[in-house]
Amino acid sequence: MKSALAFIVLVFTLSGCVHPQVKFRKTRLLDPMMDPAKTDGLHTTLRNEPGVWNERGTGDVGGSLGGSCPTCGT
Amino acid sequence: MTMKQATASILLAISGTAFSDDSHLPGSATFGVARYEDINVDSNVISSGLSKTFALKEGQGYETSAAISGTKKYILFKEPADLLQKQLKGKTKIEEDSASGTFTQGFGIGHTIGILGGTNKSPLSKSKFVGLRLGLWWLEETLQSVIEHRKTDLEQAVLDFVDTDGKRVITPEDLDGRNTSLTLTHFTTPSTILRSAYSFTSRSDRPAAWSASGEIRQFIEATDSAVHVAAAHYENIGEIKAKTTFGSVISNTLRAEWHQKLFEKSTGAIGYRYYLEKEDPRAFDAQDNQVGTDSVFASWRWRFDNVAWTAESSELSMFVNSFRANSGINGILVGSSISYTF
Repeated sequence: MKSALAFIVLVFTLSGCVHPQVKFRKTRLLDPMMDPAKTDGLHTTLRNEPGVWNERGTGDVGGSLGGSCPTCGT
Repeated sequence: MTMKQATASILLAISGTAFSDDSHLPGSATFGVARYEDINVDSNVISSGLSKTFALKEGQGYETSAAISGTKKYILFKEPADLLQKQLKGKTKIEEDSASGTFTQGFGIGHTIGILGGTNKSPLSKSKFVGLRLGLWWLEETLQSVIEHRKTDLEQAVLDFVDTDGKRVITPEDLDGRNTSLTLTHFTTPSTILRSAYSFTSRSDRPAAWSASGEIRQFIEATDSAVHVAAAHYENIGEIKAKTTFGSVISNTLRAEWHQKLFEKSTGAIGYRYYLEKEDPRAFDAQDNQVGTDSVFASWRWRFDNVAWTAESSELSMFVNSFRANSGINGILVGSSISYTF
């Protein structure tokens, strides 16, 4: 089940590769509205904290023993 | 103590200017404050960080970067539940300190390897983590993959209570966990970014957890805007032993955001997030618990420097986020941060 989902995630992303290759410098990677490094800040970190909102499945995945947030990367 | 901590945070942010050099490699210092409040808790947050890229080795793609950050929280529990009261040992006000750092080395355009570590300390728990991160570019620099592995050790306040089914639950004092994640970011077209992530967490007191998420970011030329749509699924199911306070959990999250450029130097964003969590308690006679949360937020960022949108700039940001849960807990988060780019 886990492997199947991991495969789906991989295929989902790679599916975009059929488009003509575009050098990343030509994309809007550095646009402040598109770049995850710029859109994710203090707000993103705080709103994803599971302990505060009584949500156990958000934020750092697995609570205090998890890793980076899969969505925001913090 | 309070003033000392706040002063230290401000000094950390300001000290970033001392690292300014003529290499034109980016560096930034950030400082932020925030407050969250609902019927159960008040939390005030002070956050600061410093990051800088250096050229220790010549050549494009061989930059070295370092980042440190620290956060201080002052938390007031208004009417703590029985179990929390036991953990707090009669206190209602606590302070939580956390710090983390990363050191990253490039080894060719887009390829990086980094180490990371951090600590977190409060009367409820004390933890530290170390990790390794590898970033690689594929397909003519259009697909970025980041693999990260973390190991966390945690000490927590022990709980010893009898559950609704008569079974004695004792939480362990020491825990350890490992997390591995893979994040893929694909620059599909010059105005489209696809992101997906998979994460697996094992820990000593509960079954392993995993999550998968996906996000689309689309730039809209006509309105100078960007739309972000994201979804995430999380599962922490399996045998729940009598050493943890909650049962198996499955959750789903949906999020949509609209980012809009405003005037010459600022951007605004509004967004909505829906979160649904189902908990199946360990005790057979306890009812399933379902949490649904609507969350609406807005933010505004103003760039100080009169430079192109794609260039680095110092900026001020402000945000407000309201949470409405079906449990009746309605919370509001407000905050502001400032960053200085050098």
